[in-house]
Amino acid sequence: MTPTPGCSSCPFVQQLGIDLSEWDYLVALAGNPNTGKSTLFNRLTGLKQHVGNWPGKTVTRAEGGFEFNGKRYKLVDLPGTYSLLSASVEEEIARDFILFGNPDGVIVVMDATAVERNLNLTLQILEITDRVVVALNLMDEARRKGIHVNHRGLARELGVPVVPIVARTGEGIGYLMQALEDVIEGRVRTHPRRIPLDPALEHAVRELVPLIEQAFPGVRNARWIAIRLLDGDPTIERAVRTGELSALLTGELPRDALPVDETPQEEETLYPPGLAILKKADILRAALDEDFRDRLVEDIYNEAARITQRVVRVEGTPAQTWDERIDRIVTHPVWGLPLMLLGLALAFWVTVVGANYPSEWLATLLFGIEGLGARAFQALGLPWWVTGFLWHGVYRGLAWVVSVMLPPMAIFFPIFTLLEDLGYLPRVAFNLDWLFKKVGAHGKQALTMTMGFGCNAAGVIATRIIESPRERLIAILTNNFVPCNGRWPTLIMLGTVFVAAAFPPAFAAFAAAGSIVAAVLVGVLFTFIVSWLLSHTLLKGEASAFTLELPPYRRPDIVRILYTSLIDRTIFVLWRAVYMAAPAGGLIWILANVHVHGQSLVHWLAAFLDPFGRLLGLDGVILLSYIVALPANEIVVPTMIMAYSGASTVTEVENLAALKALLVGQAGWTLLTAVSLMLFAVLHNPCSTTILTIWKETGSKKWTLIGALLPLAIAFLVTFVVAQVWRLSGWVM
Amino acid sequence: MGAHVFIWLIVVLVLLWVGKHGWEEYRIRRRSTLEDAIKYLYDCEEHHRYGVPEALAGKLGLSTRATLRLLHRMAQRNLIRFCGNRVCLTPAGKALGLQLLRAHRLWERYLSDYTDVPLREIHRLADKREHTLTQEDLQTLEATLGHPRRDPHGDPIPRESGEWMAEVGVPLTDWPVGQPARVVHVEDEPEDLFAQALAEGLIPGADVVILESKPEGLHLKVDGNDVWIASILAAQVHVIAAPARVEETPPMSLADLTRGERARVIGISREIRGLLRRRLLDLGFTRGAIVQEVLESAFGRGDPRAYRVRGTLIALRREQAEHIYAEPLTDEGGDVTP
Repeated sequence: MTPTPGCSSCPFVQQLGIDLSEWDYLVALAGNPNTGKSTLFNRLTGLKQHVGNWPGKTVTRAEGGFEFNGKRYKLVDLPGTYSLLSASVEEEIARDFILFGNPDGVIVVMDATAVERNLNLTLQILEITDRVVVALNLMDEARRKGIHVNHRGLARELGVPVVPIVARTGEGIGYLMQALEDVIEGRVRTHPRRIPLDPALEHAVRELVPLIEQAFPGVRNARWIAIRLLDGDPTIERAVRTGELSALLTGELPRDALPVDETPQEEETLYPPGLAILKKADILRAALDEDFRDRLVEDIYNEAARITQRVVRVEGTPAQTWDERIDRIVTHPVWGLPLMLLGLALAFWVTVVGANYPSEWLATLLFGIEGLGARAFQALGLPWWVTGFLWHGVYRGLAWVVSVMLPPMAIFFPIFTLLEDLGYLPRVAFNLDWLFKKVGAHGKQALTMTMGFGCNAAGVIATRIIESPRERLIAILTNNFVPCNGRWPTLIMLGTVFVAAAFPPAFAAFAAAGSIVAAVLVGVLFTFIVSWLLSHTLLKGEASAFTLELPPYRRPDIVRILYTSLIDRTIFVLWRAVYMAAPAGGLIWILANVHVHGQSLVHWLAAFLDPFGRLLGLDGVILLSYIVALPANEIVVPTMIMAYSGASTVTEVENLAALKALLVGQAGWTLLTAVSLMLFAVLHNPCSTTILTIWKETGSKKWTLIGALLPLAIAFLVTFVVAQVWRLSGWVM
Repeated sequence: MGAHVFIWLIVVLVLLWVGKHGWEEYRIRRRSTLEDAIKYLYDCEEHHRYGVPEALAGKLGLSTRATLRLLHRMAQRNLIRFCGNRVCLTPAGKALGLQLLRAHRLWERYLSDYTDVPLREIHRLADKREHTLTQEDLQTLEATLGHPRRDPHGDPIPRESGEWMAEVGVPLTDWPVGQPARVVHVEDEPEDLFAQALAEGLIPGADVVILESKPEGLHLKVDGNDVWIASILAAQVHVIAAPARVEETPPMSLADLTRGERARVIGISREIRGLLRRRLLDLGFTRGAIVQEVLESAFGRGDPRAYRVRGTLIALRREQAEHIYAEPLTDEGGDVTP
């Protein structure tokens, strides 16, 4: 077919972004992972979208709007799943939305290069609803690989419209929208294909269907409900038991009325015909073979294979050669590892170097504003402490975090997303899985750790890619052991001021870099140790299931990557700065400026903490800095400098010599202090944002507490032992 | 001085925690004791024995006084009544007993299918957890597990209605000599025969082989013990074919494939259950699927490996791959759909 113009320029579809007011039709977007579903979503709705979580779940939900032929559509992006049968949260969400969300239509995105696999989900959706349009995506890739999909034949087989598209370029989008409108408005009648079941199961389903139709008049997918009842499905069973099924299916009851597991259950009203159905299902199930569930999935896939054989033709050799060739290199026993390390090093280097200048500009700009603001306040005649608290406290804390943190994040996250979209990162997980397997963790933890180098909170969120519950918890609880962006300044400062200084100038740079790498390696080492401990103690019994998809290499959608990772992260960082760093800045200012007995609170608190700090090879000021910098590790070093120099606000020292003079001369730091601080910086408790994120992701106070206190205990223990051994062996003092 | 205050703060926090925790523990234990008593009495009645206070005290490891107090509490709640010197369950008590049994066995099933807890620890954990599961929890659990019929030990799981899945078994008298069987049901009437069956170890779940069959009786091996029983008793005992303890090892699994080699899946081992089994099936490792080994992890010495199945590369660890059985495919098939 001739390519239709890209959608942004095509006359029909008008992207509405987050403008979701007064939509006419609600449309769900379903599909397997890695089918270009989100590319299509962006193509239709534009880059702006509502991104949040599904209610009560830690699964991302995106919504957007578009207009077509004068009708406004609200598009909901469902989680990418292979199936709707097993009980994973993603599948439950997708299933519930298609079933109870009452979408006017469902677009099922299929990968034209893997029709058979994608048909598994498509066939299941066709059992639930008949208002389906199939978008056969990645046609360009299929053509390149010599895969011919007879889309008309496929449409005949499935009984719903099938539109070949290339979401990346916008090819075929207009036709897809037209087909969608035709289905929604009833101009095209669909006859969805039913999955042929094995005879025993088919018999049981046929027994149940009339009962369901009788008890719940108007239910259109009785056959599918029967299958679910036989298979065992808590949500459907409850809806049948209480008689709410019809109301839920017709949308009279909002989807939120579904009893969620966590909420306390009020007395259920029971619906006798529903109970009769459950009883019948019980009896029928007893007559079925015990592994009828395996047969069910088999039936679907067999049907998928049959359809595929009729509509897909492959020309010449299966052309996966390119992918395979790349895979050979990136998983090569000799080249694989250096390539990976080189890639990571490059990513970090670009981040660190590239962030330098924007950081400086931002700092100049933001601190300039501070000066102006403060002067303006003074000119207005406001008391000094108002100016001080607001500008030198709250504002400065905020400005500090934004200027230190924003640029590296804005560089690091797009690179990360790019590698992910390319398909490279899953290969890293594949390469490193053996290591993680040894400690009872998942290879994908390598990815969430890498993410943690940018920001631990983002790393914790990234653990969503680990589907296995136990391995995910391990990844969440140990993410903190990789030093994030906010902790790099501490490590770099210590490396350059102390370690480098202990070596002749020729080796100084290497020594500094080496000490930082060593600190990171200590963090990685503890990641493994703690992962091992967790999987052998606290998490011993948690469920575990390893599978890892290696998606084909694809050309990434650069614009989308830049936009989403920049905008998402920027908002995230700004939010964090406002809610977390700003109050911390205010607190620090108060501590430095409220005087008791002629000394600032900082002085008293530091003196109070000092004996404890000494035990750990640190001192009171350092501990105090870590306490007040709980919201943002970026301000640890400035706070320490403030406390040592007796300044009244967080500050920096002009050059390294002055810094060294301050720390060694005035504060009495030794090499032990530096080493202890490096260890403490890597191992100590996560920042408050990360703790909050752990709580949101796990939904459990227990795991949040462990996630916060376990690293702290380890940091105390390690620094204590190091300090005592160091002192006993007489290296220092 | 700082260090002192720190230490005191920690001490106080620990004390507070211990206090709160201890109170909760106490309440749970009190409830557990009562429920354990109900379970014991329920078990007695199921097996047509009678619960007497002394036996109960022995079972729960309580003093006579504590037992009497416990019985008093149970009677107050209308869970038991005293019939003579014996203790009988009221309908409410029976219902509670049944629910506990259901909770216990469903939880065992859950632990064995969805977690890595070793089988020998399952019973102990279920003994604890059964006390905190509500009726709704059980409904959800049962549906999530796909309405299992038996717990991991082969005992039937009672339905919510109190029904037990009807066991289709064959009377032992009709069972062929030499073929391993498992007892699924023992007729509980008449009582003396039932008691005799129990005495010989013929309880549901026992493994039996008929060594010799004579008109007057059968020579059996029951869980490894030699037993002679009368035909009249044998007719009371229903058996099914013993589930194979060791699966026949098919010629090969996906773990045996070398690079580029293709195979057709025969099935997934019983050892893979619950979440993982479903996921593997959903990914397309169903019977008849054609799988090609594509990539091995060089660093993990071939673990994990990536397989092309239904057009996608999926990496599996060795312990999963070796549980997916397959048969080799001659390379001329050509029916791999990319």
